[in-house]
Amino acid sequence: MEPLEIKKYPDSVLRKKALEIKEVTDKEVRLFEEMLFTMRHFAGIGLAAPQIGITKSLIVVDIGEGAIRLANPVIMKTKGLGAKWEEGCLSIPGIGVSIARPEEIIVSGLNELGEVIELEAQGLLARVLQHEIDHLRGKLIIDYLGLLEKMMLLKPKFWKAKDKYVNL
Amino acid sequence: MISDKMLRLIAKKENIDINVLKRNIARGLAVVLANKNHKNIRPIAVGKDLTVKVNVNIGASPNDLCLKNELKKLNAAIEAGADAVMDLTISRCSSDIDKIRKAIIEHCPCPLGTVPIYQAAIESGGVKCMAIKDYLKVLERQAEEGVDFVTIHSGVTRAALSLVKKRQIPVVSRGGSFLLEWMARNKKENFLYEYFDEILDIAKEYNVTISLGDGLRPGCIADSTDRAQVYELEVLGELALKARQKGVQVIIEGPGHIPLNEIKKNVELEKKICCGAPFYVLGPLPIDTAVGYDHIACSIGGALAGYCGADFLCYVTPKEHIGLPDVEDVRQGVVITKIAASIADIARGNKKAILQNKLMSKARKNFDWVKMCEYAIDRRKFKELLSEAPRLKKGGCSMCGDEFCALKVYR
Repeated sequence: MEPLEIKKYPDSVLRKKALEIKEVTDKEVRLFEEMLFTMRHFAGIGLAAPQIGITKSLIVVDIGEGAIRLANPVIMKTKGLGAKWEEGCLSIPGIGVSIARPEEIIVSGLNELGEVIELEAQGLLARVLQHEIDHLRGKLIIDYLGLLEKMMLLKPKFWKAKDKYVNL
Repeated sequence: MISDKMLRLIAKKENIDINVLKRNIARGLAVVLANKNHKNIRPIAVGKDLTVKVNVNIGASPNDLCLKNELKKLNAAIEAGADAVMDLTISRCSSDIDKIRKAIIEHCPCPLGTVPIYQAAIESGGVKCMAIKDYLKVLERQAEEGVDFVTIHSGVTRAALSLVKKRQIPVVSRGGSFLLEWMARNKKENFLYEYFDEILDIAKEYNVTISLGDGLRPGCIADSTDRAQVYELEVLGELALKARQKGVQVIIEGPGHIPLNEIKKNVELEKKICCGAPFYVLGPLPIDTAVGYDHIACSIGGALAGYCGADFLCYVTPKEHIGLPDVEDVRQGVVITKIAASIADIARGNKKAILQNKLMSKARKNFDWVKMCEYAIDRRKFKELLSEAPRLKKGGCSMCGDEFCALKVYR
């Protein structure tokens, strides 16, 4: 298997709203596997379909406790505002943004067999799931920043010399 | 595979958020060295956002096979603050290697590493007759006993044979030389490269971390960062990705003899090619002529490498390039490398290391000799020197005497 190309900011596909899928067919299952491969290849822990240029509502997550494949994920319930910590994104390499997100969430969606499932998540898993679900709505981590902070991050040439190996 | 309890323990010791640790591990930027069968282990994590760790190589050689001696070295290393131990025993008889390894695992509270190719070569009846079947058997046996990380020289492929010919010293890695000889004789590709998937399966089963060995590390300054070395690194990068797909933890081994000005480049190259996998440097030694003081030369290179992003330093003893180290050599090597690691920690902004240094200077200002001892890296040496030096009435040291002590003259 070859890794797919990851669309980088400011690709317009990252801003498109992902379409809900009607049912999970073989095509989606294959896509799930390709997404997992690509995610691991680039040392990621989560990937949403828009990041590889497909506007379908599909995400994959693996934080080392087994892969999670979800179609049409929706956050049902959130609890508590967790601590701020830095998040990265494969589509915006080299940039970390401190974001405060709910500590615990309940997500529902379809699994790879097409069954409706509900998932309780907390800590790292909750954070990754929220990050990927943001992608499906066209939201990126830099949207959590103020204008000035965004300028400083995205136009580092104006502010400081750019790091040579930013994409690690 | 790695329990939550273990992660909490590590996060507390390293003083970082457990979620950040989990993320780094899942992304392959950090690894936890802990075989599921190693019972008495105090697990450590190596990699991003963590302190720089120190590895100690012990192990007998065919000319000096003494189990008692090796256990003494092990104890000296742990007492001096080693984070991980590698057993590099090589002998003409496979059962000796088993015996020493089993004893070390039993007495070793920190992660233990081995290089299975040494034993595989002996069990196959010599370097020329090595076979993957014997290798996998040895690997499985060692993994089952509880070895936490293994060095695997999968990057020494056939293309390297022509590249090393241009070098001053073709090869200095023991494992690397075995494989080059085997490939030249048998005219086949390195079996560790061909059967890497089978190796990964075993590693996955026991949660053994794979340390991708640098069989082509430069053996002198003249060969540093040459084509053979970079070629091998590229192969290792490809294999690291393969391991990540299978969910096996990997660290990448690095050089070797590297001049000071190339150390930063080497670390950056590894992080770039291997997608940020933890870097385990064997030195680096920035000079060839410091024989007898190689441990000090190595710690100078190690401190810089650690600051630039290397995560795991392998110690060097004063006996490097001369002979098998004894207990005192091991102790000295560990302490000096530990100092290099701490220097790197401060430069990397590790809060705990910075606090430790702050407390030390506070104790120094107050002439609090007991506290000073507590924060010293090598307490034994501190106490030893303290007992020799004459103490003055007002608690100062004999460097300037009470009258002219800078700390007392101006308060």
